Amino acid sequence: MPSLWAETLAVFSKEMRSEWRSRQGFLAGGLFSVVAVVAMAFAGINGRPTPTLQAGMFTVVLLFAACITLPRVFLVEDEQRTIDLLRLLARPEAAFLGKFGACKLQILVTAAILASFYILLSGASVASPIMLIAALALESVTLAATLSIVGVLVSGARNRWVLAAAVGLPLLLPQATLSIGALRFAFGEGSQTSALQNLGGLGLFAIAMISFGPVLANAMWRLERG
Amino acid sequence: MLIAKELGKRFGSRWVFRGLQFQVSSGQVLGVFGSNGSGKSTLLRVLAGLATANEGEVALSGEVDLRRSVGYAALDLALYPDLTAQEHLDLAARLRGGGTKGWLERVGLPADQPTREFSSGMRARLRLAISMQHEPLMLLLDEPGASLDEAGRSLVQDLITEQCERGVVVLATNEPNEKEWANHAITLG
Amino acid sequence: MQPQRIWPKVIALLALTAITVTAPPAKGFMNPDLARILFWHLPCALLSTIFLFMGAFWAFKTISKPTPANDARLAASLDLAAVLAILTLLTGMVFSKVQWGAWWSWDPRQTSYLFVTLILLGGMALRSGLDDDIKKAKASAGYALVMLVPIAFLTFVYPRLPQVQSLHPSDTIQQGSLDSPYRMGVLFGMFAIGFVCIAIWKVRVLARALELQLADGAMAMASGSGAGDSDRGGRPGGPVVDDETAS
Repeated sequence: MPSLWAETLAVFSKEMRSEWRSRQGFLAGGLFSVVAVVAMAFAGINGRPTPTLQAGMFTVVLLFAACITLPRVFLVEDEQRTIDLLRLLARPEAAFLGKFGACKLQILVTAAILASFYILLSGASVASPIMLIAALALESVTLAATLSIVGVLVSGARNRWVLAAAVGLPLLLPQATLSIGALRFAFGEGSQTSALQNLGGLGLFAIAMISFGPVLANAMWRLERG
Repeated sequence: MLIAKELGKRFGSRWVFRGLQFQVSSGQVLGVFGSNGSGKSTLLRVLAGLATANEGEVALSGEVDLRRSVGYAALDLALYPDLTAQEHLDLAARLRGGGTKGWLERVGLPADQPTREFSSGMRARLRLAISMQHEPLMLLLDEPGASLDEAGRSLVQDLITEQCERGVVVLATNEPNEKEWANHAITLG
Repeated sequence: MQPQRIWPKVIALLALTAITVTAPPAKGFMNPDLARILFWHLPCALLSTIFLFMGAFWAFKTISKPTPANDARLAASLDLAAVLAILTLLTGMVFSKVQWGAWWSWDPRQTSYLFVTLILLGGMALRSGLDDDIKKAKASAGYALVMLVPIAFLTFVYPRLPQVQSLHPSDTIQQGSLDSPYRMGVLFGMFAIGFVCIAIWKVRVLARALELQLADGAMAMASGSGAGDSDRGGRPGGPVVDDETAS
């Protein structure tokens, strides 16, 4: 019997192969990010927004980009009706972790596009590049983990795309607050201690969600007769 | 041996079936017959573990892991449109174990064509290959002959014979020709 | 539930109303008379949290054993937590208008509680989107456990962060900063509203059980046309292995 790691890798490869051939997720996420960045840069055309506002806009855009693109990794199985095949083949924990890995990669690329375009277009000054990278990386992991959980929860539901956003956004609001706290320091406002506290909070959220995800997937997707 | 006791499945407040009992020994083919909507497919989904019964229990001798012990091929079991037949079999082997060698030739499918370009008969053949590549203890077939040509139907018959040497087969169908493959039967509805 | 059992709950709520009207004006508030909404606001907030944790308890049981009874208890707990959270927000808005001059002050505590309410409503939306009973029970239980993390953060951690400056008084009851009549009033409010909520909780659970019994009754009446091979007669799905070979 293959190990959990081998199964996770198999699911991840399957996701990446499908994404490489269709490119739907990256295209949707990338396009959304570019459009959002242009809008953000345009909003600040007559006066540069404050670092807190920049951090807020940045987080909100990343949040919506994630809500648009990430649940797809899970919901597409429902849409194609391949979820049964996946359940028959993979153990639920591996299915979750493999898909979470794909989500993580996708949102990291989206965050990188978002950050580079925004800095390039708006000429925003980054006071702490390390904090910017750390905050975006941790926020991406937390987003991916939470939305993976949401993907598991809403799979099989009616109006699952709308439901994913309706269920996911409230769960992500506290994480967004923490992300803004860290990013505003990266853009030059607030104290480093406070930013590090926010980063720590994001990290704890990420750990909690990544730990719970496989347990939830097992409860939801496990093959059982009664 | 497959034993089902007092099995019941409900959707909302409507029972699809209830109090269902049967026993199938190794080497036997149980036919599940009944009109449309009588719960044949639901029963197979319950046996596969894809749907949870609201009542009763099912036991399959020698079963350790449901994934390993059940092979399931149904019309509504979708395939990944971007993956080829070979990639499907590889994925199944990487996730669940079992081999892939010789299966494509046996079911007569091309290796490098994505399944979105497959006809419904080709998809049915691939589903059969996936359901058998890990040598399950129980094979569940839901309308296996639908959309298959004569050669395809004879392939199903061969696979049923092969499975009977290893374990049990449960076959849901309404086709008179396919009913002949069963040597025991229950009627739902 | 017997109809006459409603009266103790009505009397409890009337008594709370009477206490609200007759309590002495609170000291230290901008509008001391209207500060009495605390008798409703604080109990609603505390009871919402209690029902939330009760929901988490039933979620834990449901996720491992998704029976209709466990699910009914889970759903009743979470629905009550959501309704009480909305009542907390509404009474809080009245308080905010009267004491701080605006219906909504974007006070961190007020806003974080709005987040909590939205999270609870998200759970209701999730339940409404799923049809299969078992899937609904599991998903609902999973959500109830997942939401504990952000809700615990929003309720217990965020308001106490040093950088968060709130208009809200913190830990009012624990610190004993309420006058004695107010403390008693809030405790009575907890009792009265809690009494009503527990009754609603029990009715919800009972209603679900009756719904299932009715479905079983309908099934028994239609037993001849149910599952199983009816030509064998008797209970649907009686001994159904048919030894006649089809071929």
